[in-house]
Amino acid sequence: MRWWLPISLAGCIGVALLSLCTGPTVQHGLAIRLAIPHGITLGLRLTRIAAAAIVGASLSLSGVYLQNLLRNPLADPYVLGLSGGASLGVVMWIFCISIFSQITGLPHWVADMLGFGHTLPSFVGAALAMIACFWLGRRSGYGYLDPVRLILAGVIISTITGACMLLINSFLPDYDQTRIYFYLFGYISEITPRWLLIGTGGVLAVSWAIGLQQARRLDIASLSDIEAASLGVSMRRMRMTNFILSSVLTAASVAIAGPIGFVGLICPHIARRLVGPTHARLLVIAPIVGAALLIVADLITRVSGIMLDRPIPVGVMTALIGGPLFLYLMRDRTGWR
Amino acid sequence: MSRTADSLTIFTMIYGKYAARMLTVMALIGVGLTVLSGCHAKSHHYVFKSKSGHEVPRIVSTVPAATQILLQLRAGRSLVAVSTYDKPLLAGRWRKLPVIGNYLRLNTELMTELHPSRLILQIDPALIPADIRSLCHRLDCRIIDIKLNSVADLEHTTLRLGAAAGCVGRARLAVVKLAREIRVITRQAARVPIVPVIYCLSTNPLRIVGGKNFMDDELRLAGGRNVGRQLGDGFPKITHAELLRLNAKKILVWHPESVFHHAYRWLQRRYGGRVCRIAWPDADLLTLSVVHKIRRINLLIHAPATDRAGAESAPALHQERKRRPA
Repeated sequence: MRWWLPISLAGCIGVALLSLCTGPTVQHGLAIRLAIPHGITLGLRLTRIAAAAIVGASLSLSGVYLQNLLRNPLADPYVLGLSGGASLGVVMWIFCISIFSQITGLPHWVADMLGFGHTLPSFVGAALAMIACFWLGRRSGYGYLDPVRLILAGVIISTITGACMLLINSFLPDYDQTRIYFYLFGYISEITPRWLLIGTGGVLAVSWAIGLQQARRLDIASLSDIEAASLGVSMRRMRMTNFILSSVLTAASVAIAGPIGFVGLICPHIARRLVGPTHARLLVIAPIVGAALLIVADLITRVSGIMLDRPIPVGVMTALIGGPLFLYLMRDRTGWR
Repeated sequence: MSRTADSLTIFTMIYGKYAARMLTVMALIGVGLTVLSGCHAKSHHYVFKSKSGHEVPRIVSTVPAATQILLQLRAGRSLVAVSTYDKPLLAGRWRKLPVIGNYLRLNTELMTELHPSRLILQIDPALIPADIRSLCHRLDCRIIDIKLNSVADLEHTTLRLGAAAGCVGRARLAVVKLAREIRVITRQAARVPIVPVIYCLSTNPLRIVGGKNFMDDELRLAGGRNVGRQLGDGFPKITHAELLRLNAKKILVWHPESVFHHAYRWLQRRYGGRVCRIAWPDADLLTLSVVHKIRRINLLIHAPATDRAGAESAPALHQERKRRPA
């Protein structure tokens, strides 16, 4: 059991190295080459791996917080509608750019730069979804967040944002529809801005440190509200902190890679199987597992782009890897009963 | 402060004992890196040289029509990668060309590996994504943004592509030949009665050829009158009721997929012998073979209506095919 930290860390670094060394070659037709890159290629691959690792770790950490907050093993960053909110923010931004460009003749790329690509709109969208979810999830009279109400609010927000996206999409020209289509698949780019990576990495580090600092209280919060209160843990403050941390982490990761599902759901479960439910260990292992899973998914996406001519979207890959893994974990625990 | 100190103590207690193992793992990773560095291979780029020893431009084309024009100009050697949309239209050794992605999302790493000198796009200059601009700037690759909205654009675009691929002479000859052939078919079209036509690009949903595009030009040059123009420019989506209201004499259906689709069968039932199925795969591309396509459309729309749909197989077309070399 004690070997899991070095093993998972080694696994994560190993897949990162494999991803770093895997790339296309055109020497004798297009093929995969395993070699340490250099020059521009090295920079591009490092950026992509760093983005995948940061997004995977953020989503996984967010999943740990949410599963604790909602006391629900099926909770993940997307169940609260945060991803839907971020995606709707981007879709509305593209819609506004389209209208604005038609009126003023301003090039799209200038407008894109004003919104820092999709970063600003997705962050604002996730923040608005978070506020809406918070407002709807409050338990009247008690003044704190009710897990059941929060989940219901999240489902409603996801449904509404999905419908709004479809509505806006139907009004857009073909070019913008294609942009939205590509965004919603999720994509980790080699040319993700450094400031965005550093910012998200900073958010991840702060959230991780706060989580570790209150690891004991997170363990206690897994018990019932009354038991937690009798042990001196303020559930009100705890839920608020968890909610804000998970929202910020999700918003930051959606800003980098678009909506990528399943990482936040599956990685906390894998980590729990490895090191048990103690949050002091879970909070260390879960981000590493998340980073490794997304790096592997991204590697397969890159390789499929070379071998099959069309890259399999990274969101699809995480679901394809995570789904059977989740089934295996479920089977292992319940034996299909 | 004391709480933070407590947390640090707990953290050290739990993870401190892993330090030796972590060091072992790090050492193993170091060994792995050293082994991998042995696999290091220097990057080589294809450098094509012409017979005269000049370096051939390295072109990445994301526009299927531009790729076809380059191949028709016999400048295929300068192509180093194509888009995902090109692949089904290529044959022979050109099918082995690497696929770079599409006009919105390029494979950055493959672009870096190929190091092209020209990138062909067909997009409004204001819509070119910022990341593609910056990538091209970094690779010192010139963006050639072509326009192929009407048959008239073909001449200018062919000359631009010829200049980009280093075959200006061949491009000029092709343009002169094209202009001559278009003059001939324009004269021929003036001598035959004009037929009201609808050109369906897909049957479910129903998308037709509207006004102000090269397919509308093709119909006009083939001696038809595109009644779809009434419903807007470009390629509007319409309902079946609107299609009935247009009252065309011939319905051209570009339908390279199944003829058993219920939407296509509905057209067959409703219009019978007036439905002509266009089976050539590059019908939606404007290339130097446009005159040949216009002639084929001319034969389809002026052929007498038969009981069976699918005038592509009309005897006149077969004669035309026999007459023309492949």
